[in-house]
Amino acid sequence: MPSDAISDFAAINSRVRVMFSTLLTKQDFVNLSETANLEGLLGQLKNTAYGPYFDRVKEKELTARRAAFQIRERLAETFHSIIHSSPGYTRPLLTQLYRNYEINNLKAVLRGITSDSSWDRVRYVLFPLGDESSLPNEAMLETRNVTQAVELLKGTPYYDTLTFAMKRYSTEQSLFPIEVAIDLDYWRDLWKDVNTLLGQDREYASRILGSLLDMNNLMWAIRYRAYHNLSEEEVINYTLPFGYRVRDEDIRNIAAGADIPQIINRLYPKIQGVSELLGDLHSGLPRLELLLQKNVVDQCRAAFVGNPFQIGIPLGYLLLFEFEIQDLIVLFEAKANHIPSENYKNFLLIDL
Amino acid sequence: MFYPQEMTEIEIIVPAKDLLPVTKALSSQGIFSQTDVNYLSTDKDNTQSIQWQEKASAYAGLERRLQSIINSLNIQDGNPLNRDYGTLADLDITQKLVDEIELKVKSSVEQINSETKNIEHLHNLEQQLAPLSEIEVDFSQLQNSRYVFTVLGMMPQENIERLKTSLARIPFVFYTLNENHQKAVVWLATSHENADILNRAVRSAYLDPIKLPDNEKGTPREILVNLRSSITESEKKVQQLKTILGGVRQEKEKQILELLWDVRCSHMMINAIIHYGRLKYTYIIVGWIYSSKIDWMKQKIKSLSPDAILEAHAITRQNGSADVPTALTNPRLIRPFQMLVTTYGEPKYGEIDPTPLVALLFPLLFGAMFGDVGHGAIIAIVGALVISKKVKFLNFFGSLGPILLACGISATIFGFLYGSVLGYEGVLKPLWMAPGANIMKILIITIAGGVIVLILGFLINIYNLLVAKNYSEAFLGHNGLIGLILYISLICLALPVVGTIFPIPSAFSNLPIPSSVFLVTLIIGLIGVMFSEVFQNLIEGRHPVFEGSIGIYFFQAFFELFDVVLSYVSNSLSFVRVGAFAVGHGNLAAVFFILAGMLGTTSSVGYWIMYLVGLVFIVGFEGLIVYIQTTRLTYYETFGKFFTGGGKRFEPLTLHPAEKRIN
Repeated sequence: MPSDAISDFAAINSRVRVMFSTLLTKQDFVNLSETANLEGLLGQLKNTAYGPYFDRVKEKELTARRAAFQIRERLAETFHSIIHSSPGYTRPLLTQLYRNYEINNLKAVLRGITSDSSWDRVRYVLFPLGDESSLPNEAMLETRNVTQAVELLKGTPYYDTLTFAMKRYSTEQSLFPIEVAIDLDYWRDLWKDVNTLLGQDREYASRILGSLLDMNNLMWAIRYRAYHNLSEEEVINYTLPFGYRVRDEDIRNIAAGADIPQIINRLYPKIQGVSELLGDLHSGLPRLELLLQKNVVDQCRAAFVGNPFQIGIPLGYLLLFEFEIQDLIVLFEAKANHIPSENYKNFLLIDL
Repeated sequence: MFYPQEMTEIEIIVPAKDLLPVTKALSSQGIFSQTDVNYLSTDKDNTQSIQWQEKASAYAGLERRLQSIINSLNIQDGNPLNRDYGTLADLDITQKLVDEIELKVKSSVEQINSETKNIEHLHNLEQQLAPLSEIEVDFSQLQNSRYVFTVLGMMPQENIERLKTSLARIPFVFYTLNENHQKAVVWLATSHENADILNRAVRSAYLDPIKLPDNEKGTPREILVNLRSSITESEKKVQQLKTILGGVRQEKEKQILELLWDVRCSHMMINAIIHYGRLKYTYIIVGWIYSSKIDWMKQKIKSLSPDAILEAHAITRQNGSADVPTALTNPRLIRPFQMLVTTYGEPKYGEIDPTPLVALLFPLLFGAMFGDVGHGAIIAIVGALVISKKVKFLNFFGSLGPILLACGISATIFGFLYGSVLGYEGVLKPLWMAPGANIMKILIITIAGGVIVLILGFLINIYNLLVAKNYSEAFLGHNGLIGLILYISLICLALPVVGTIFPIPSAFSNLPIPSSVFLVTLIIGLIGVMFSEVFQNLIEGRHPVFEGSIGIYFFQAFFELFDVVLSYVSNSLSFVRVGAFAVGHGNLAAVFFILAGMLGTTSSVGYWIMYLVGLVFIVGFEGLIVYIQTTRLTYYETFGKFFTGGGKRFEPLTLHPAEKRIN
């Protein structure tokens, strides 16, 4: 490996490995899932690295939603720390990965407008980007109008993309074309940043982020085709022609109506029972997505084996951290609504 | 001046032939307020009523049409013309005239609107075609073709490849005609059979179609040239039509305005007649008139209609009811302050008119808080300009001109008393005292002034209640005699104590009456106020004397007493703001002098710029705040003692806004 890779990644590698050790273990999750209620769960979490983030909020304000917001603050701070410590040429990719949360915030705000939600309802659903965000979230929500809200995005990277999508929104009065346009634009830019890397960095980034993109692409194609009954050309235009394992041909075949379980079995031999999952789309599609996410988790963990001086380690860690938060949020909601473990464990990435 | 006008209720039975002259006489001089007695009508089939309603509706229609003509021709509505409006405008003749004018105006206006819309449409097309201007292709030949379906539009560049992929299953042609870094103008074609697939594909690729104008042929550049020349042509046409309208306006402006006022006055006359009671051959008119004018009105009506019968019933202030309207008539000098009174509420018929008190108190309070020769003069000048109506942008002050003038003059007088000129406090010797150098003194004086105002409020309230024969409330109410006794007792007992802390004249700190006397009156006042409801019930023979249980009554009464005493104290101390603002006014100017000094010496431009900024801030912003404080002291502290409002406003019958009122 090139000597500059060692010097580039030595510091960040050490830092990430320390952070990696603070990820919750399976036993931690077992203990958390055995708590009686949300208070118990949060009480336990306060003894972990998440503790200081709960101390920032008054006890009585610590609902499931607020708790989720607080733990995301830890993720936000971690992102900052890693981006600033990473080699310069990797920062565009890491920053673009971080922008995914801004994209989600944008979608959440637009949904908040169409559902006439107040700022108090929406603010803790958003990812805590703080001053870094280029979105005037509260101002957008207060317009109570999607068109006016989009006008507030003039000067941001989203405006041009949204200008085209807004014409469809005006006719269809649905956020679907807007959300698709934002997503496609985001993932194209992310993939461009992956392709600017060289050597093992590019290989690991393609593997990890490509797997993530594969998951999204497949789920989009399957949903549009099987669930929304969109036409072949529409499915193709609403998906992307690149990824890690999933080829454009696979997407086009799904769009054309090919046998989806066959395609998935070929791509992911370890995933079983796809036909049964797709028998009931309403419950099956989320399960399928979870299985595909587990594949991404495997890719992330695999980055920690072998050459330590590559971008796969910080990338893998950040995604693993995000998945951990995803699982914790499932637990928060389950405990807040007193859902028994047999009903929620299928929504967890971690096997309890 | 101190009371609303005494009113007389009149009922007139007038023959139908004399209806119009009698109505005109009633409406003259603004001394008659009509009561709606339409319910007294006896015409069973309502024919007369329907006729009047139809006439009213016809005049209303004519008024609307004339107003629309005036708007189209951009004529200023302006002041009412000096004409005799004693008769109704002839509907048929007026209608003919309006039709004739409308004909001349309407067609031009419609054409202007149509051309304006066309210009807007052409501009939109121009915008759409602008990206295609470099493309030398005649797209019109491709539209409406029998076998080929085409789409021309703009789309995100990054979606182009995906769009091509999505169309792989159909034969198609794709051209990128124009592109910049984000957008591309593209043209696609396929067979008509595959039109649906193409449409779905381009829509999902976020292609924004460009629609060419149907009647235009040629390349986009040629079409744009045609569009631009069409726009120019339409604009010329609009100008020509506006010139024609200008000619109509010059020719017909006077006639239109005359018609408008004729119609308006006739409409008002009909509206008045609709509210009369109708008998077979006569009409019943009921209303209120100033008692001082009843004899004059009787003579006038007799001269116009010898067969008319008029009955009058004077209502004295003591016998007034809620139905009797209140007409405030004050001398011209204080009449502008009526607006401040009626904004709070309409005085009841028998109540004292607080306008003279407000006319004195309001400028006095304002002047005391804003005392400065220069600043006051500025406000006075602004007030004078508002009254003159010569400065258009000051028109938003509306009818506040005289009030501003009075407040400005008062502030100027206080400026001399305080020795302050445009914020400079050393230039003029104070005729009284400089507030900044006598802070405690001015604060005490203003509180003393407030006490006097409040006592005056008590007295006015007691008088109003006595006039209304509400003796129990007059003697035993919280703002009645017992309340006044309590208030004065509290003041007199507090004065010696205050005198040991603050420098007040010895005549007040050492009263000739011993404190023990005031202690006794205090106890009387406290008991009176605490049990005022019980005593009033006893006097008026109302039962039960105690509402609810005695224990609860005592509990409530104690807290009510506490509330009343607290309100006396807070109302009194509220006037300290007058002194505080007097002191603060000078200090605010001083702050701006300091800021100006930081920017340079008096010979530097920066100094004077900051000085001007300060001047605008003080006169504008602080002036507004002082106005608000003055209004608060007038409404809450002063009016709160005696003014209940709830009167019915006297609405004089007018058939023409130009009619002048007699004094």
